[in-house]
Amino acid sequence: MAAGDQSYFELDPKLEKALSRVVETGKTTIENMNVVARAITPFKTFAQINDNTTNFLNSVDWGNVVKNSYLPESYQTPLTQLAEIQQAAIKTTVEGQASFFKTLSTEGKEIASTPVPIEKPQEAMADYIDKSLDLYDDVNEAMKEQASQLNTVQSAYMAWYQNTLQSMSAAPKT
Amino acid sequence: MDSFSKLLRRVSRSAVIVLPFLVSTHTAIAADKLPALGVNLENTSVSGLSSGAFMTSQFYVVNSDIMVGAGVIAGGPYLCAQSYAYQSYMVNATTACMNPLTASVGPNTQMLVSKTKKLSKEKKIDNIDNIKDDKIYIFSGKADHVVATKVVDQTEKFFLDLGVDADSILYNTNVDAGHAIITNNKKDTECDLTKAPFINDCDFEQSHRIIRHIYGDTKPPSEKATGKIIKFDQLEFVDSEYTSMSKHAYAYVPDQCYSQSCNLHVVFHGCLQGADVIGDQYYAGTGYNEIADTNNLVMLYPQVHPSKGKPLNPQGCWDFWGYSLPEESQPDYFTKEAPQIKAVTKMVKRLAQQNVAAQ
Repeated sequence: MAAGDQSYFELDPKLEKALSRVVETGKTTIENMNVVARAITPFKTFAQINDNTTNFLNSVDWGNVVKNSYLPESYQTPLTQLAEIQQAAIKTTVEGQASFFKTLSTEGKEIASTPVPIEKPQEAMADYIDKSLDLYDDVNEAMKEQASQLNTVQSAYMAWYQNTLQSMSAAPKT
Repeated sequence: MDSFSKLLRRVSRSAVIVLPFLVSTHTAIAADKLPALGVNLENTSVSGLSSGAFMTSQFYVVNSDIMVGAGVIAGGPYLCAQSYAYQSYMVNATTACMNPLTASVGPNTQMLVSKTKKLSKEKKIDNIDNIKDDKIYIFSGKADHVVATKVVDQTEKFFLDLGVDADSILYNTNVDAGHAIITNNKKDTECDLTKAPFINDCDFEQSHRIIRHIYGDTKPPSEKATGKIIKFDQLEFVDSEYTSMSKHAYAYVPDQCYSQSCNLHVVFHGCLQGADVIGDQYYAGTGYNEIADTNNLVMLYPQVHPSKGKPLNPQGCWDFWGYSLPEESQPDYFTKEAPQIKAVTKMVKRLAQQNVAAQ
């Protein structure tokens, strides 16, 4: 190696930038995990839901619920609403999964087909790191979106159950 | 002479060292106290976007004694996070109150209305009958997928069910806007996008429409705000540990409001819109101050900031699900005792105190 040739000892600026992106991504991931961990408060949440459910169930007129349960028309609205929820749930879930797999396959293929020019190994490595982190970020976003969609779907069924009890608790229409 | 010049040099060197400290100390305490201006308490109104809109509904309903109207931009009804008992307030806030799967599983307005009446009876909020003769502005953008129109529809229903006259409610769902407060400023984000700082150009000033709807005959806004923006110590009004409220908040005072009694409008920013995140874009760039100038209005801009620890408020939203009382399973974030509402109410009361200097 020539005395003046420092290229093997110097970090390519692109690689330096890519490596600092790795560190930043790591930091952000840990920070986000901490935020999620702090958001999970099982005891508090249990107490909140338990109190609220007890209050709600105490407010239900069970006599009316029984009377309404014999009236076919009492089921009309809840069944229509349930059908709407199911259709929307299927659409949301399928769309969410399709978008997730599209992200995964498109960017995955791009990484797999990245050419590796031997003469510039640092630049190639920087490029590979960048593409991998792009995939990581996009998959993360897609997963967050999917989790949020599943949460919305689950919440919809719970809400439907309460709405149905609420409507059955009303005095029957004579 | 020589020794004198040496002394001068020493003094000037010391000044170079000491002055910055003096200046920086001065800067650190540069925030003013919120002044007493003798505003007409009985003519107060409030508006806000997103979490600020949820906060608007809370602040308005809780303090209805002094309110004449409200502007709710992309927000759900009061108590929305308490819609469904089988899930936590936070889950309700992020599902039923934002973008529920279908309209039927959105805010549970029937239950929210009955809870509101109960709180009013128990005097935990002002008498809810006060709102019947008020003016309400509501807005939901067609391209808003953060707080969907099916949620905002329930805000209108909530107020109608509580007896507000349909003619007093102006509900606009015709604009192809994203999740944002609307301006008539080409420099702001394109109308149909949902993108930080959530201030979109849709060719009209929403703040002006809100003020016009609430106060009726109003004068056209000034070309440029000529009053004074006051940065004040907000923590003076906070007596709770986890409010997520910033050290400083802002008020806009038109010149004439120092010598005459003006009305007060409170403005709540949305998530990721506090001054710590977007600087002066909300409190100086959304048109409120220009219409304040010509209509004798003082604007109050309370501030919250993001907090990733305790309280958990990573996006700097106003509290409409209970984060400000992290230890409690039944957090009171929605009555006169709620930490944030209590703090902002104290600010309003300060502004209403008589301005002794002007007398």
